[in-house]
Amino acid sequence: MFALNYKDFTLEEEAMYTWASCRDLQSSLYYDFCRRNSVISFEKDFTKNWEMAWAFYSSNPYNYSNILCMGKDGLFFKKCLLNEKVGNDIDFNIDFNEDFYCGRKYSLIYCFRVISLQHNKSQARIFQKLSELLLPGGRLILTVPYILHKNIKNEIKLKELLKVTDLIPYNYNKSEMATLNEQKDELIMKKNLLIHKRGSKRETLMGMILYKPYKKEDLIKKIFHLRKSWLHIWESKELPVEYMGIKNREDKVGLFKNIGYRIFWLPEDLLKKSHINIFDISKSYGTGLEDATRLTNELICKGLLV
Amino acid sequence: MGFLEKIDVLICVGERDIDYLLEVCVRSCIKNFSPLGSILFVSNQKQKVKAKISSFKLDFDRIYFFSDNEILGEKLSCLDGWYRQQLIKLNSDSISKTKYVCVLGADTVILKNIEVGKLFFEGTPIIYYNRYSTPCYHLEYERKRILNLSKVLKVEPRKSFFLGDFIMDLMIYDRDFLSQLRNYIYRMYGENFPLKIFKKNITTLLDKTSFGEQTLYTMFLLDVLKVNYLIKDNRNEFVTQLHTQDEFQNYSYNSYVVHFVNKDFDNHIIKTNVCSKL
Repeated sequence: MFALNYKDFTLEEEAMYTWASCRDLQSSLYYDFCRRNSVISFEKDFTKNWEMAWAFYSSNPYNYSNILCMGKDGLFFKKCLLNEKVGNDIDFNIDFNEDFYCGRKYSLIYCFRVISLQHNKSQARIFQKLSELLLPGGRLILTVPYILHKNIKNEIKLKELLKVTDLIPYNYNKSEMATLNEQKDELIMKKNLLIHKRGSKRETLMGMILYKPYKKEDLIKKIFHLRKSWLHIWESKELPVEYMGIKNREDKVGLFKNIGYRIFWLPEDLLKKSHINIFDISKSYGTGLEDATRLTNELICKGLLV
Repeated sequence: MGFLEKIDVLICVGERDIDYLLEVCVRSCIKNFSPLGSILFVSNQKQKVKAKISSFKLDFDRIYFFSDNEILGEKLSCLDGWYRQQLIKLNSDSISKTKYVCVLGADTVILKNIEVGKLFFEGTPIIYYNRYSTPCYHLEYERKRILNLSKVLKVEPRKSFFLGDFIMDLMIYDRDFLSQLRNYIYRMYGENFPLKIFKKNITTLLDKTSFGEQTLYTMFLLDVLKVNYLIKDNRNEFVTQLHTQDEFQNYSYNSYVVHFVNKDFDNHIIKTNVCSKL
């Protein structure tokens, strides 16, 4: 046993959709995961422990049937998933050799430190491959070494890298993506950055969740429902309630100060439906089908529609 | 809205706008806003704006000038300028004669010809909203504004909350709805409602989520009146907002309208790029 000192961690640039990792980190959840799965000692490699636990708890693998684990630690993580009784339909590959992918697609891909934030052809190819391997509605869980230096703009590097592939974070501001002429096969990006300070050395990894949205043609055939765990009774009405993170969480403007939960307001007619499709979203909000596609994907990505 | 119907354009001019982009803003409006009726300038520096506009030697004579107090009255002169400008927009129908009023920012430029079809669908105005990459802090910022305004309007933001951001620096207001909105608020708060519901000091960005005329008006339409208008993603193609130097430098002047939010952008670069389109 060892003492886990949470003060060793700082969480920078916490994104609003990644609250769970912050909460989980400050509970014994991550520690328990490592203990259950005999992950190597925390003292030896603190960051790797976080990486595994973060990937597991950020992805809810129980909701997916065909999973791929990639990278040097992918095999170990596959064992963790089997140990956690996620299912048996889990593939592993260490990196991208051409023979491996004979047309199979995955709904969930874990990719541990395979990608680095370098803008070159091989990295771009990996991103392209990953996008091809994902089914619409699927998620890509990435961990990427993150260089902490004020002169190294990791975010810009990431955007540059994504530009040359078809993996585009969902609806990026076009002025930021000036070379893009059209929105291609978009992905919604979630980001979480965790830093472990060990003396003067700062080991960092960026955890990213990329979502592969459905296209309009796919969504037309799909039916979803509201995730029950989001629905709570508030003033005698059943409404989606979103957990916003720890109450003393700081952000640059103070938007989330003293807010633990908030109602995620949705139109009444949507909440009454047991099944929801893109036409319902379009009708409820008064948008065309193209815009309803985006909105539906956002709700799926957020976890509110399943 | 018929294709021959005119729309007045209201431009609120703050002190810093006078020497910034006012000339390109007005010239772009005259050239590219097809249904243009009159241009109505409102400023607390009325004479200065008048002199400045006359120095542009515009080939357009339907231009009128008003001071803030002519629209809001003396009682509200104690309000912060940030609030006053928004209230003026919410009272734009008091100086306009057209059914619809277009409110344009003084730091906003129309780059492409805007015809009625870009603003209206089947005779009613299109409501535009903004979407961003996720996660997006700014969208959460706008949702905070929606939650605050839902308290002002005493309404559940059923439709507006998820859409989140309705900030457009070229926006069409319907004079009937403006009047209904004022009556709605008057019924709840009585006369001089701003003095009752506005914060005394606006010092932080968080304070600025307490109000927003575009969001208030849109929420009134969507969540109070529940109008059945076309709602459309702006996609940065209709109105692009440039906040940061990075955005400014990468912008390729390809949207219909551009709002230069940051007053520190190099206006010589802007004028050079814009002039070729005017």
